[in-house]
Amino acid sequence: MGMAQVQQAESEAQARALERLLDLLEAINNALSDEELLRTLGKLVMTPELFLVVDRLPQLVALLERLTRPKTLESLEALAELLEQVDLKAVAKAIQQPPPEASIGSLVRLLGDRRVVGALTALLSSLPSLQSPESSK
Amino acid sequence: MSGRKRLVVVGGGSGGLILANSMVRHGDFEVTLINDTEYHYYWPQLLQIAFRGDDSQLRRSIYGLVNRHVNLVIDRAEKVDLANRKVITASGKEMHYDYVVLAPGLTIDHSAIKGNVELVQQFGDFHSTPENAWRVYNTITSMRKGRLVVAVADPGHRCPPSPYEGVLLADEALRLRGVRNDITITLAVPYPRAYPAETFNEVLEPVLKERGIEIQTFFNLDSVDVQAKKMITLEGNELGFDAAIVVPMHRGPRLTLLPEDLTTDDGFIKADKLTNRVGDYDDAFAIGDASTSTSARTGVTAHLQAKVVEKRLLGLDAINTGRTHCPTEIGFGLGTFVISDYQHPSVKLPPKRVFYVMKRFFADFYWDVLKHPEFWDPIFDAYFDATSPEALWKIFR
Ligand SMILES: Cc1cc2nc3c(=O)[nH]c(=O)nc-3n(C[C@H](O)[C@H](O)[C@H](O)COP(=O)(O)OP(=O)(O)OC[C@H]3O[C@@H](n4cnc5c(N)ncnc54)[C@H](O)[C@@H]3O)c2cc1C
Repeated sequence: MGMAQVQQAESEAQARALERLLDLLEAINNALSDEELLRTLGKLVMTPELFLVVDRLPQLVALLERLTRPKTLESLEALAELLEQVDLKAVAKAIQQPPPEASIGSLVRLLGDRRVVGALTALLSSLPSLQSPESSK
Repeated sequence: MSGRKRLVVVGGGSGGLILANSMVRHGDFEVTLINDTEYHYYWPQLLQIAFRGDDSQLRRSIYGLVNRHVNLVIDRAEKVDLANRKVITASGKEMHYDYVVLAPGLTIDHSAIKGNVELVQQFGDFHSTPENAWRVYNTITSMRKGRLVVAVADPGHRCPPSPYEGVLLADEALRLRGVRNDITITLAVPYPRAYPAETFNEVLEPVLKERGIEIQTFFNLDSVDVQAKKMITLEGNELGFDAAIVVPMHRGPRLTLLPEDLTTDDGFIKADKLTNRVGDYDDAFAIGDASTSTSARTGVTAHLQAKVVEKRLLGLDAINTGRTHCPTEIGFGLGTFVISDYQHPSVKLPPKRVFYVMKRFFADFYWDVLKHPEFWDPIFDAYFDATSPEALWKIFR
């Protein structure tokens, strides 16, 4: 490609980019002059729920950050796996029955159950990762 | 000879313009677009004119919307001869092509219903011209009492939810004027229920009822007696009105296609539902309102079909999914969408403010979408993927 051709290609590319920018501005301008849209957006956005969310945003971001730590995700996964194994029908039945007399013996038996131990381990290991940096200091 | 393939696109509407602007990016095509006016019309704006008196988005000069590497010809394609691969225009030009895509939209035939030409003169309609939409606006802003009837004469009309949008926007306008209590609004349809698709009817009918709109089903309009102010059905039933709007009969485009057996009796171009191919011609496609391949006469369908034809012209094996995505405005800042495809009936998407906002956004960005498909394609691909009927049916049962 000769120098003149390179220059021409460059100026074509520039013209295209400028045209694209102008068209986008035109589209944005269209939306901003759409009174119906703005009125409805106003109603949609200005809800009490939104103010609540905005107010809590810093805490929500921190919580999200904690929830997405790899360690937390691993623990949650382990929990989910365990929950899958739980026999929900049996649990529902157990809830409907009157509570058995609590005894040290039954507690020891319960704590010895493989699934209960697994669930407790997963739960306990997820706790530190859910703590905020301040409280874990 | 440049060695590039000559592609002629007839019609610079929603389908043809997107296709021309998309194809011109592929260097090995020389693209000619023939449009019979210097303007591109955004037809959904007819509703905004009729019920809000707003024509701001009605049309733009086509020169500003077409990529400058497209060879734009303002002329009317009069005849397309598939066997001899040529398009003949009203001004006598003969254009030879390697591929042709027909996207000339449709025409409106007011005279197909006796008395409708007179009726339109008086009250207008919102499916034909801006002038007629302004007549509706005059009707809606001057009516004080009586019965307003909106009757669907052609089930194959453009934009399936538009008559419902019409009555609901009329309701909104009349309420805002404080005269709604003195005006009965009746929607008369040829279907067994308010909306033809049963699932979407579950969304729409409660809205119509809540807004006090009367629904007449199995209404097969035959003629209108403007003097006596009544509509008469094929079965001889009568419906009186003080003002009335008919969703008119639609016909195929003003274009002669050879061979003639490739058009239906109504003048629509016979094209394959999956590939948009016309007859056995591998080099001819028809998209959008003009073709029989369309699952719903909407701009979104024309757009999606243009994308399928683009891929097929590039040698890829793309097919239509029959996807519809019709924004439906129900007034008072609420909206929903008619979303379906060949495999799934319309999703029961409940009306929400956010859907109305989306509809307005689509309208405001429409011109940019036409001109810069390369920018919007990935966005739409992701959007249509995320809002597939299959996915939405799992949420809105
Ligand atoms: C009231 C109303 C509301 C609507 N709402 C929606 C909506 O919300 N969403 C949606 O997706 N769709 C909507 N639609 C439907 C949508 O507007 C059409 O389906 C869409 O425009 C079809 O695109 P098309 O390219 O097939 O035809 P058109 O857009 O009609 O374009 C055809 C073009 O071809 C030109 N032409 C015609 N004959 C010739 C010829 N012989 N030679 C050269 N040029 C020719 C015309 O001038 C025109 O430019 C609505 C329609 C109406 C009426």
